[in-house]
Amino acid sequence: MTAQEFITAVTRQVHFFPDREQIGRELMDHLDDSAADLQEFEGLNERDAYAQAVENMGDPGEIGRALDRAHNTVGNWTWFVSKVLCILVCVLLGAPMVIGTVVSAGMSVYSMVDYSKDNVEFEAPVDTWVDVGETLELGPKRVTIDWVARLENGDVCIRYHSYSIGRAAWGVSSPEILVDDDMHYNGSGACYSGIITVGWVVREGVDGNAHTLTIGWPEWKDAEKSTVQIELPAREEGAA
Amino acid sequence: MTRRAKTVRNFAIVLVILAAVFWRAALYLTSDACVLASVEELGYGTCEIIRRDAYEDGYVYVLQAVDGEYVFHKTKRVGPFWHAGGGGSMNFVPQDGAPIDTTMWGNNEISYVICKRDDPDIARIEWVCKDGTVIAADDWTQDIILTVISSGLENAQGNVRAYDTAGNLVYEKEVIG
Repeated sequence: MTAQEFITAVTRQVHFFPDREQIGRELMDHLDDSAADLQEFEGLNERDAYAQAVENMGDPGEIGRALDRAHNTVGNWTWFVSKVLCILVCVLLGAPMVIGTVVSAGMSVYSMVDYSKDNVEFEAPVDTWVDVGETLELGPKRVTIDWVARLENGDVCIRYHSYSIGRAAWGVSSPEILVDDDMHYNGSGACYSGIITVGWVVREGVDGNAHTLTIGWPEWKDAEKSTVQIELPAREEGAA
Repeated sequence: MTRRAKTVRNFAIVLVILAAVFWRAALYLTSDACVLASVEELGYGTCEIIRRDAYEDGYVYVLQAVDGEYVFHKTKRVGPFWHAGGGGSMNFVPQDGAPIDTTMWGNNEISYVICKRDDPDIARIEWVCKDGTVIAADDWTQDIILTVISSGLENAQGNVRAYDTAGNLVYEKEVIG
């Protein structure tokens, strides 16, 4: 019986398969040491030394059964299951969550910068900026209306953002823009929804006169907290 | 590190990740907890569950907010957990002496009908869909009946009939969702 055959015969008895390789390595180390001693002190050649070392080890079946009793335990199987489960959960859930969070954080920061006053690109020049900075309450959510821009083509754009770092089943819909309390559906808009939701929305066809804008969610239960009113000054002569 | 310690560590990591996913995805252990958290997040505050009925994917609820407004909401099952499925709200205001008031919502496949009775003599309602299907209900809970109709909103927008305890038809109206 060669050393490898001996090791295979022993490890085949061990039902806790995750340990078979390590057991095999340890047995091989032992056989290597034993064969080296036999070569050095008994003058045997390598082949005979290994054969003698294997014979000295005893019955592989008996050794294997003893090792099986030592390794095939509930504790070892629990460890193995926990290891597999941990790897699966980390790969399938943990890694995507971490990657998603990092990407979302990055996209959020990018959107905040991209939609900032200095970088946002409108279809027409802005004739009036109004900084709002008002935080509205939508139940437990908070949404900040950042600024209002009136363009020379009559569009009124607002930018808003909110933080979503908690447990949230629902996102934030885009705010309404009411001009002098009229009811009107908003025009276009866009938003990035992530850890920070950043968006802008446009109300078209607003003339250059002074207006009171009601911005927010007027149909929310507590409209006082969910809307903000701002005074949009008349367009300066010669601006458009 | 011993295998026992590694086992504890591995299970701890699994639990932490599962808890984070569970929390972040707004999953809940029970449907009731899910619906209550969801309506609170939508700004209705702490609501009382009036009744709930099962539908194919979960439960549909009628709740009442502190200010008396009725809120209807769905939950859907996600594996062993629950997730909010949307809904709406309604202030049932008695109109022109009508003994019942109704509202409905749904989609192309399923409809949810809520009936509020303002007259305690109303014992039974019948919902007559456009295809002629009649759904009767008399299981009032705090004057509310919640019925799930297994057809889309377009078909469900039929007529509602109200009967008194003697079985007399006392009210009928066309319903538009």
